[in-house]
Amino acid sequence: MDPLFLSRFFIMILTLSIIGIMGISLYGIFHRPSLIKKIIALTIFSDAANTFAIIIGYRLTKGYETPIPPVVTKIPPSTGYIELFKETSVDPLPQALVLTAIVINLAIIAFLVALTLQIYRVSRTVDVRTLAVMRAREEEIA
Amino acid sequence: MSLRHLIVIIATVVLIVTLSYAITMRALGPVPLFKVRRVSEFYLTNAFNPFNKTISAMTPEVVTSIIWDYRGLDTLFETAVFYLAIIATAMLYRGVIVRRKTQVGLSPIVKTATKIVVPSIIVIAIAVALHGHLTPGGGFQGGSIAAVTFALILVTFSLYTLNKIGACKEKLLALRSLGLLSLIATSIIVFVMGMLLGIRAFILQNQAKLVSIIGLPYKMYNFLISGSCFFFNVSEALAVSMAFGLLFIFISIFEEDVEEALKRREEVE
Repeated sequence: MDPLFLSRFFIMILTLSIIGIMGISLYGIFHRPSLIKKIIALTIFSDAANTFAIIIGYRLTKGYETPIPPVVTKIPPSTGYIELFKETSVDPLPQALVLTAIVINLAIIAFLVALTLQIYRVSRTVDVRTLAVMRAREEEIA
Repeated sequence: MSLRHLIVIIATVVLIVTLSYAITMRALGPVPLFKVRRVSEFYLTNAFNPFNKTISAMTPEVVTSIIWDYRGLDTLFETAVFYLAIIATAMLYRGVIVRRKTQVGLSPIVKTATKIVVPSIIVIAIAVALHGHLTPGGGFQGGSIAAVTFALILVTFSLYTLNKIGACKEKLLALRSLGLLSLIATSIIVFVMGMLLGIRAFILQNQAKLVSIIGLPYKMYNFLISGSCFFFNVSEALAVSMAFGLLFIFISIFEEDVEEALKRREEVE
């Protein structure tokens, strides 16, 4: 079969499945009552988005060889090597964007977990429905 | 099944179908292509290019050159977001005092294995952070790997053990601030050098540019250090590892200590 068609077909299937995962995780964020489940769904969503960005950065090379990672391995490089590197390396920009996003996601998830822990300590539940009822009751008292 | 539930499910399905249809109809264009984007082509050509030193970052790892040189300001603000999350967590746990407790933990087998594994994890983290400008990796990854040791010690030994070997939260906060300060110092060092010499220079500058003739050396005693990238990676690794250690300590503080602090806070209010 045509390698161009095959590679584009597989990338398409990957992209579509990532969109499916994104939809499911959005459902989890909006409709699961437990805060912990919401956080888990959020991590799945961010991972899906990161994978999506990485897939966009994939490229094909002439002769359909495997593209190389964006690292110059020959030092000092010749002009020909730089040309070849440009033709065979994958897109570095999505990787650079995803690299920082992963670490920041981790920090924000840890913050959300700490917040959920405090909520549990104060009100003994992480169910948003019960929390809403408790808040309404508190407002009634006030 | 309530109406609300039904609406959420239908909305999710509609979202998935619409996006999938758009992708199938080539909304992204044909992916993958034979060429990378124009801006990425620029980065790939100029990340390590001895023939065009004025616009090159002189960093063999293209991703690192983008993160700390071409888009350095971007990364600095992303780091700010990261530390905002850490500071918010620290604020949640204000007033909590960790008291001395008897040492608890997992079985001696797990403890011995942890004692063997922890030094090797630290060595790998340092290697990843120091070679950030040469191989895939860098400050963020090295710091995250080093932070795993805090989690390991917390789980297999206890918070008390971590405090006893000197990793209390005040110290970690101070070391994190040291990492952040060296990050700032690295970003303005060329600017300060230019001010002292009376030459025009810029903040976050790495190599010498066309309009500014000074810059950091990319080679030092035959070692390739890629100017500011090396120092950025090292200080970022220090800051990230200490910040994550802080987070892990906050999450695993003893329940009674936190509740005591909460009660005290309520009394004050």
